[in-house]
Amino acid sequence: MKEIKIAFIGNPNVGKTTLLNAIAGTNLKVGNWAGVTVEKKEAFIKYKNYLLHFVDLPGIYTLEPLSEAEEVAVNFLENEDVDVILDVIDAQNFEKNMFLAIQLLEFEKPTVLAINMIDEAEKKGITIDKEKLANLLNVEVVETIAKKGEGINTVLEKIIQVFEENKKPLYLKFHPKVEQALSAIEDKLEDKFSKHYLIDILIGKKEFSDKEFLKNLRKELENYFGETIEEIINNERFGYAHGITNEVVKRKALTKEDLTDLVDRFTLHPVIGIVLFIFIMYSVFKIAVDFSAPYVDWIDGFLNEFLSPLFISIFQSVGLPNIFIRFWSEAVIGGVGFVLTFVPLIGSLFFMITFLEMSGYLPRVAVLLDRIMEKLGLHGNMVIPLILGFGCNVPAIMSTKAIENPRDKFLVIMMVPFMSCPARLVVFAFFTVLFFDNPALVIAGFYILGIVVAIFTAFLLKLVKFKGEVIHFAMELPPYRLPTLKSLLIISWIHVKDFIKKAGTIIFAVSVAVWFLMNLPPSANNISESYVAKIGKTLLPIFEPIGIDDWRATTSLIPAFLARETAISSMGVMFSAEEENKDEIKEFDFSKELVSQIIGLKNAFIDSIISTVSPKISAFDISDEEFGSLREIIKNSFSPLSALSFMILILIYNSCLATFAVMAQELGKKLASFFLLYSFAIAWVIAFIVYNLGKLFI
Amino acid sequence: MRLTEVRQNKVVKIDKLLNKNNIFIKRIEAMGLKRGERVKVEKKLGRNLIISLEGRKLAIDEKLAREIEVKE
Repeated sequence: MKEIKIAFIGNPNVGKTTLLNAIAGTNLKVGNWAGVTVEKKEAFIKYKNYLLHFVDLPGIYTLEPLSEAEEVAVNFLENEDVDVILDVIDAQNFEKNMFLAIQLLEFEKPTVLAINMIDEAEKKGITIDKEKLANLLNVEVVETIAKKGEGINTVLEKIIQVFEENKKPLYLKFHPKVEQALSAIEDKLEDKFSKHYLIDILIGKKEFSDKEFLKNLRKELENYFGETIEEIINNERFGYAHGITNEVVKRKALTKEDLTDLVDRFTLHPVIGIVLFIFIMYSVFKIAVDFSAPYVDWIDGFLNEFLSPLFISIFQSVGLPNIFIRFWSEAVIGGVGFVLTFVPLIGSLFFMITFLEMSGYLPRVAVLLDRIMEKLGLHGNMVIPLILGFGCNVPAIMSTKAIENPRDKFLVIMMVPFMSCPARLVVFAFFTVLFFDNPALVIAGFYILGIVVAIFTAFLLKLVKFKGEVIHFAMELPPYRLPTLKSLLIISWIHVKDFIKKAGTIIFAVSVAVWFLMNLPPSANNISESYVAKIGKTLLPIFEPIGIDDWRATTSLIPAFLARETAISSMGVMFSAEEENKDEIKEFDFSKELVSQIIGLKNAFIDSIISTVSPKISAFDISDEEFGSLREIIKNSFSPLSALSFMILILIYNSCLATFAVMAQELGKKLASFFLLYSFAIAWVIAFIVYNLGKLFI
Repeated sequence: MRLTEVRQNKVVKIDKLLNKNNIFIKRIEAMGLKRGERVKVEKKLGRNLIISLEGRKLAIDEKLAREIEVKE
């Protein structure tokens, strides 16, 4: 089977990722924000007798290295053996897209142009003569509508065709003076190189032995054109893009107002826009939380009232030792199962955030909030990673790759970990319902505290590291689009799958390790003599001043470094072990229990619809009776103030291995470790202040 | 005339981009704001200008807009 390596490239917001999803049906994250696909992603597709290897490159406007996104793309095109270039072009903005296409043609590789969103262009009165375009550039041209999956098979066919024919695109002829200079360079080289390579030598991006010769060439051109060498080359490219557009694009003047313009009147309004933004963010989190809450409860009940007793009755009937049964119910169901109950919450939150990303709304938020961000000395483009941070810090930090300014990028990476993610919500939801009358308010307070600490951190950094730098704002506002349900579901599923994988691996490992530490050494009579107790007790002096004086709580912070939600699951393991003998194993009636679970699921379904449409957040209106005895025990081990202190620690201390790992990747291990210390210190100080001030009032 | 001086909803033609070594100027040029393009200033929002060009919308800040020379 022949493998064809395809560089999949295009401008931002051209539906590139949607097209790749339609082609590969694969696990690629989709978004409307420039830079969502900055990470290199791949897909292998078997088609006819070929293995098509698609490599998704970042959405970029030019190959000039303005940020890491362009660097990633150029490095790939230069250094990997690319067989075919597939360039996705937005039919509505043909000329702008051609600028990149022209630069791609300079690589002289077989090329396919996918003219996407052809339906939307036609609605705007734009038609493109694809035969003429194909003939002019000697490439293959396919019209596609990625959203509907139209034109996909033709794309695959054309890729194979240009590959088999080794169809080289048109050799672009720039101004004769420029061409003369390029051939003079070529004459001095032993091998044959692409136009792209020769241009890079001319503008000084690639090494060339005869520096004096090159200097003279450049000087001559710059004198002749009265512009810098980079401007000369870019003007040639713009000229080509413009000329080709004039040849192939026809427009009919349409006067009706665009939907985007209409919506923008509200979303970009300085006052209404802010009100809308607050309303939209409230709705996103309300819908996510309320839709999922009944399912969360149902899964909890399913695990503890059905699955766990079912296994116990089976294990007992086959005569498995008691220690194994305990391991199963405490480490497996008690640890992993607990975390799994939050799958619906994470899924629905991602669904909503992806919807905002793909709809085109997020760049508006960046512009709108730039006014406020600027007053804080920050930048509107930081808003997007920060909002994504509420979904998960890891992709949020990854998305900063699209920020071309190193200062902004650095600041935003340092701010993102303070954005409260659903993993932290797991801990907050658990504690607040136990200790506070108005859990939603307390949780909202935590989100705000996170934002305040993030801003404080940025201020600190600006004072120390980035004094007096001026930062610009330049962002495209793509037209509004209604994302397809399929794409939304695929992306939400990818995140849920990731989470389940995490629950199945890291969290499982942590639960098991904690369980063993708790049951060892074998001589230990009870848990307070175990290893885990020793570790927790050793750490106590650090945490006592902030009111956390239960060794099980301090111990739970150790596994919480892997993933925050494990704080609860490992505490669950430790506390449930203590109550082991209190639970009498009841007679388990399989069919009766199964029926009751099915009825429970049906009720959860109805409840989730009712609470989603009701205007207030009702997810946390749960009475204490619904909680098991485990929660009661935890309630007795904390006071409201020490619970607050514990949650502050979980909120602010960057205790998440995955976040630490991406920070280390982006900033280096040293800075990431420094951040870890910083976040712990600031968390401790805030917890100390809150706890001790609180004691004065309560 | 600089782009910052253009009245709202007025269409002008880009004459020249100044300070072409600035990485942001390069970026907005690649985004399509280049010599010869007709642009309309749709609105001013904080320090930013919302500009439309061939049905596309871009937001750039005033300091960048000041680097764009335009004529009617």
